[in-house]
Amino acid sequence: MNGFDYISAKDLLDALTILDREAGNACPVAGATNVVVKAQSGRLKDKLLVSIDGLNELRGIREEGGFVCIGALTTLAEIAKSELLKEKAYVLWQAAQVFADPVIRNRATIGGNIADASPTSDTAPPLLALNAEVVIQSLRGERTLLLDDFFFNVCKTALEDDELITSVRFRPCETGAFVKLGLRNAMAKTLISAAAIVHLDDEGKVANCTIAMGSVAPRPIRARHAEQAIIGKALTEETLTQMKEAVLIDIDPIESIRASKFYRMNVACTIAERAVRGAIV
Amino acid sequence: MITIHLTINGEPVTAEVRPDEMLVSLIRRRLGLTGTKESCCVGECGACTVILNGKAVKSCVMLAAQCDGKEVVTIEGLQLNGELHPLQRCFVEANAVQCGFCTPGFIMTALAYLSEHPNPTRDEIRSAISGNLCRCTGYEQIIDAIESYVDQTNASA
Amino acid sequence: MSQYGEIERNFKYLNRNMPRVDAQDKATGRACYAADLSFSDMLFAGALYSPYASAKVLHIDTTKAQAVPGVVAVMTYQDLSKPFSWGYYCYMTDRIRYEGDAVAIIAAEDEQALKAGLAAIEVEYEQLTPVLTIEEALAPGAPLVHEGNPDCEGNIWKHATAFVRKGDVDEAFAKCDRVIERTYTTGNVEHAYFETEAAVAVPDKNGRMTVYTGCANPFFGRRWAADACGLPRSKTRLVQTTVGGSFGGKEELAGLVTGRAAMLAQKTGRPVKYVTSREESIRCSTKRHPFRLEYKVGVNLDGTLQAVECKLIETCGAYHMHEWMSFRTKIHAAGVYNVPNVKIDVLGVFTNTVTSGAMRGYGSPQSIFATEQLYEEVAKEIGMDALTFKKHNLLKQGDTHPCGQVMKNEIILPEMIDQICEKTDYTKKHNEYEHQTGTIRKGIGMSICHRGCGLGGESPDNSACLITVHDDGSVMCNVGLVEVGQGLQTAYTQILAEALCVDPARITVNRVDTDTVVDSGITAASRCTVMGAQSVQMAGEQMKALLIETAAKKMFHAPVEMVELKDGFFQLIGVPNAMIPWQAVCECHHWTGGQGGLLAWYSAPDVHFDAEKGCGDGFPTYTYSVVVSEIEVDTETGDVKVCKVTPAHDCGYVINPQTVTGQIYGGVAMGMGFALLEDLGMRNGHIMNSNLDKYVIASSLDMPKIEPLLFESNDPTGTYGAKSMGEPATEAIASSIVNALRNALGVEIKHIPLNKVKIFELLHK
Repeated sequence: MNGFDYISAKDLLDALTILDREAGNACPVAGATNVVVKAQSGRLKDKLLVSIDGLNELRGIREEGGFVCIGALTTLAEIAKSELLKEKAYVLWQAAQVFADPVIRNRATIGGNIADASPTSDTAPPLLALNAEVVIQSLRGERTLLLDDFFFNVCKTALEDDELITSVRFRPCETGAFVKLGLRNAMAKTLISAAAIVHLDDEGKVANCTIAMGSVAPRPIRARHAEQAIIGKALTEETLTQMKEAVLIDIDPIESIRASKFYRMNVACTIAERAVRGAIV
Repeated sequence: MITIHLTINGEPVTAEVRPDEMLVSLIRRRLGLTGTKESCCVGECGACTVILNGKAVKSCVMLAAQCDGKEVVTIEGLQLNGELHPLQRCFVEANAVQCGFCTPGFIMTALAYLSEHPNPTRDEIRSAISGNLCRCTGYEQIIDAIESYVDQTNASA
Repeated sequence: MSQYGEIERNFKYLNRNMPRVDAQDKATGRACYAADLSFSDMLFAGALYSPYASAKVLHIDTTKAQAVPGVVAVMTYQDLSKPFSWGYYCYMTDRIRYEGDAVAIIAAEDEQALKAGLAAIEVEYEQLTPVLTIEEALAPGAPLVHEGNPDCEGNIWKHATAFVRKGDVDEAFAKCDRVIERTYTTGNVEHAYFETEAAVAVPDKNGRMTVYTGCANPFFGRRWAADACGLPRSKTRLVQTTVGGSFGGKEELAGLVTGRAAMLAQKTGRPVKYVTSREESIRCSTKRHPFRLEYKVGVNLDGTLQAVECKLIETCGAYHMHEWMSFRTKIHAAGVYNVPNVKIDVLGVFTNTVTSGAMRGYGSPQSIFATEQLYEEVAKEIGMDALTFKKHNLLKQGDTHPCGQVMKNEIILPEMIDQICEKTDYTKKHNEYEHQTGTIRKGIGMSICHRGCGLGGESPDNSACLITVHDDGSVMCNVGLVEVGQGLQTAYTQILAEALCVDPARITVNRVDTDTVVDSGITAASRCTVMGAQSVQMAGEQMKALLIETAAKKMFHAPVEMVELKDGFFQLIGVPNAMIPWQAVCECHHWTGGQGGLLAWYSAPDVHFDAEKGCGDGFPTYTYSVVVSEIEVDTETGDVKVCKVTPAHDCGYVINPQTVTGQIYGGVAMGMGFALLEDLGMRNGHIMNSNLDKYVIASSLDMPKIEPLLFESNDPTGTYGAKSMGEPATEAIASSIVNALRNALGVEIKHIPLNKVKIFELLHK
C-alpha cells in the first residue's frame, strides 16, 4: 500500500522498548481503523507500525481509588455496552452510542481516538467534560496529564515519541448530555458536538459545570467562557442567551467543505445550549 | 513479509502477508475467497465486513498482520453441507438482495450482532446495520430479512 | 384502475412474488463480479489522471515507469491511432478536459508494481483556463472545451439542442392574467453503485478479444473493446459478469476501462484486469446532469394554465453522448398538465467538469423538482390551493400532452391523488403546517409526475430474445438486457414461464454474452420489463406453439387445436388422462427434428415526433406517480428528518410486487439523497468528496417510514400490461421533500442537493 513496516508488541514493556528504540519512526496502532486510512495517503511511508492490539493488560473498565479507569485498548463497543459507564460516565456512554458505527466500534479504541486527536473526536468532548486525565507510560516512567492539557492542535498532542497512552480516568459522574450533529445519522464525521455536565445547587443555580465541544476549533475544547457565563446563575432564557454568546469566544471554526464558518459559528451555540439543557433533565 | 497463522472458516491457514496488507486482500487475493467485497476501502460502506473472533469488522481497514492467532469467518463459511444458512435463506425470501454487492457484508454484520443480541427489536436491527451502506434496497427488506430470521430462530428455540 | 391484488387476471406466474433467481448466488458470495475474476498470467492495469481540469500535455516521459520491476506495458496517448474513443470519449489524451482524463495506462504483474509504475510517469502540463459553470461556458469569448469540433457552437453541443413548440406562447402571455418566472438549478449527483467499474480482458491466440465486465450495455462495451483493439465486432466478445448496480452509470467509464484493458491485453498477449478504486470511479465516471431550469408560466385567475416557456440548460461536462436525454427532458419539461401554448428549449453545454451521463431518471428528477414547486408558486400567485390547481390542470385520457401527443391510454392520477390524500391526511396537514413558528417545523409535500415508458422517441427500442428448449425439458433464455440488480432475470423468468406455460424452475435466464444474442440496446430507460420483455413473451408464445405442434402431430396424432399446455402437461382437450408431461414432449421434439429454439425480435411501437416543427408523440405510453413526503425541520440546525414517504405508482401490471417494492424503497433512499444529503463538493472543477465517507448517501438510520401504494391500470402497451418502475421509483422523491420543506418553512428552494448546512444558510443568511 504505502510502504510501512510492522511489528507486534508482546506486552507493554516490549511496546515501550520498541517505541524508545525507534525514536519517532514508530506509530503505535491498536484498532487501526483510523491509522490505515491515513496510510493510504502516504502519511505512514517508511514508518514502523507497532501493534499493541494484543496488550490485554490495557483493556478493561474498572473503578479504582475513586476514579473510573478505562484501559486505552478498551473498544468503543465495550464502552457503549458498559453498564458501569452508563451509570458512572453517562456523557461518555452516550457519545459511544453515536461514535462512527457499530462495526467500527468493535475495533476503535478510546486510546486510539485520543491519540489521534482529531478535532472531530467524539470521545474527547465527553472526557473533557469529565475533567479526565490520560495516563501515559514510557520506559522513563509514568505521568498523568489532564486531557485538556494533552491536546495541542489538529492531531498534535503532548505525547512524546516514546510514550503510550495506557489509560484514561475521571471521577464518576451520573449525569450529563452529549449532542452530536453530523451530515447523516450514522457513520457521520461530527459537524459540531457538545458534552455538558451541569450540577445545580439547592437554589437551582449552577454550582459547577463543564462544557466541551468538538469540531469547532483545531482541537476539542473546553468552552470556558460559556461555562463562566452560567456558573452561579439560574438557567433562564437570559443566562442561556449569554452562554450562547460566550460560546462564540471559545470556538474558532474554519471554513471547510463540510460546513461553512457561518454555520458553525451560528449553530455551535445551539448545540451547546442543547447539551446544557439535556444535562439538567 | 510477515507470517501469520489464523483460522478462516474453521480451517487453519498460514499466510505470508505484507506489513501494509489488509485482511480483505488476504481473503480475496491470497485465499481466493471473493465473496467478501471491496467497495470504498476506507472502512465506510461495510461491503468488506467479516467476523473476527466473533465480532463484525470491516476487513478493508483491518491489518492482516493483526489477525495472527485469530478466527475469521467469511460469507463462504456459512453454508452447511451446501445448504444455505437460514439467514441467507431469509435474505433470499425477503427480496433483501438486489445487486448483491453489499449483501455478504450485511449478512456477516447481522450474524455477529445476533450472536450477542438474539432478540432485537426492529429499531435495534436498523441501528445494528447502520455501519453497512446499500444503494439499491433502501434497507427495508434487509431489515425484514433479519427480523424474519430472528422470529424463526426464536420460534424454533 | 385498482390497487395491486384487487383484480385477478388468472396468470399463473405473474402478479405474485417469486424469490429472485439470482439471490442465492449473491447471498452466498458465489456471484462473480468482474473484480472477482482471476486468470493465470493475468496483469493488473490502471491509469494516470490529470491533476488539472483543463490542460495540454507538453511532454510525457515513461522511461522510469517502464523500468519499475513488474511493469510490463506502458501506453500513452501517443500510442493511440486516433484521439477519441468510440462514443467520443478518450481512452487517453493529451488535451485534458476534466480531471478524469487519463494520459497513460500501465499493465503490471501486481498491484504494487502498477502503483509504483504510475507514480513514476513524468508529465509536464500547460494549464489552461477552465470553464466550470454554464454561465462561464456561455460567456462571450469563453475558452472552448472542444475547440475545432463541428458539432459545437462555442461550448454548446448542437446534438443536445431540442425544442417543443405548440400554440403561441407570446400571445398567451400577453393575454393571460398572471405571468410567473422562476429559475432553478440542480447539481451533480453520483450513482455510487457499490461495485466500481472493473473489466478483465482476455485475448486468445487467434486474435479474438473477450472482455468480462459488468456494464449497462454489453453491446456498447463490445464496441469500445473492438474500437480500442481495431477489431471487428465479430471478433470481439463481451461477457457480462454480475453487475453490482448501475442506475444508468455503468456505461462511459465502464467502456473506457474495457477499452484500456483490451488494448493492454492486445499489446501484452496476456489477460489484463482493470479495477477502479472508489476515488477513481467517483472522479471519472459520469454524473447526473446538473441543470439550469428557467421557467415562465402564464395562468388565468380561474386556475387554467395558459402557457409554459422554458429554457433547460444541461451541463454536459467534459464529454457527452447523451443527445437522447434532451428528447426526454423536453417531453417532460412542462409536467403532466394541460398546457395549450408551449415553448420548450433544451440545450447542452460543455464545461471542464466531470462528464454527465445517464442517471436514474435521466432529466426527470431535475425537471420535476422545478415544475412541481413552480406550479405551487403559480397557484399561490392566483390565490388558489396548490393541489386544487394541479388537479384542475391534470392531463386526462384523450387530452393533448404539452408536446402534442394525444393521451390515448388510461390516466389514473385523480384516483391515485385522492387515495394518497386520504391515506396521508394531506390537505389538513398541509394547511396546518403553513403557519408554524416553533423551532421544529413539520411539512408535508406532494409531487405528481408522469414518465414516458421505454425509449420512445429518444431512439429505437428493440430487443431480442433467443430461447432454446432442450431435450431434458430445461429452457435457456438469452437476452440482450442486463440484470443490474433491478430484478430483470427474475421478471423475465416469470414472464417466460407465463408465455411458455412452464415451471419457472426449468428456466435459466443467462447473463448477457454478446456472442449469443443480438444487440438489444441499453439497459436503461426502465425499458426492460415494459418493452424489453416483449421479446421474451413473444419467444415463449412462439416456442409453445412449436411444442404443441409436436405433441399434437407426433404424439397425440390429433389436430393442433385439440392440444393445450397446462400445469406441466400437454393435454388433449376433452379427453381426460390424455396427458403427456413437458419433458417427454421436449425430448420427442428434439429427436424428431423439431426446431429447438428461436429468436424473437421486438420493436416498440413507432413514435412520431416532428423534430422540425417541435411537436408530436413522445413515448408509446406513460406511467404516473404521486409521492407525499412528511418531514420535520429543525430550524436551528437545518437538520431535516424525513418521517414518512408515501409513494404511489401506476405500475400498469405488477409482475412481482416484492421486487417492485424493493425498487421503490431504494428509489426513496436515492431521491432523499438528491434532496438532502448528496454533495460532491465541486471546487474549481475538482470533486472533493471522492469517497463514500465524504459523499454522503443515506444510511439505515436516515430512512423514513415508507408506505408504497401499487396501482394497476388498463394499458395494453407494455409486456402483460406492465409499465416502467425503475426510474419512477425515484424521480419524484426529491421534489416531494422540497415541497414539504416549502410547506414547513415558507421558503422557495432554488437548488438541490441541499444538506443541513445549506438549509440553515437558506433560513439565516
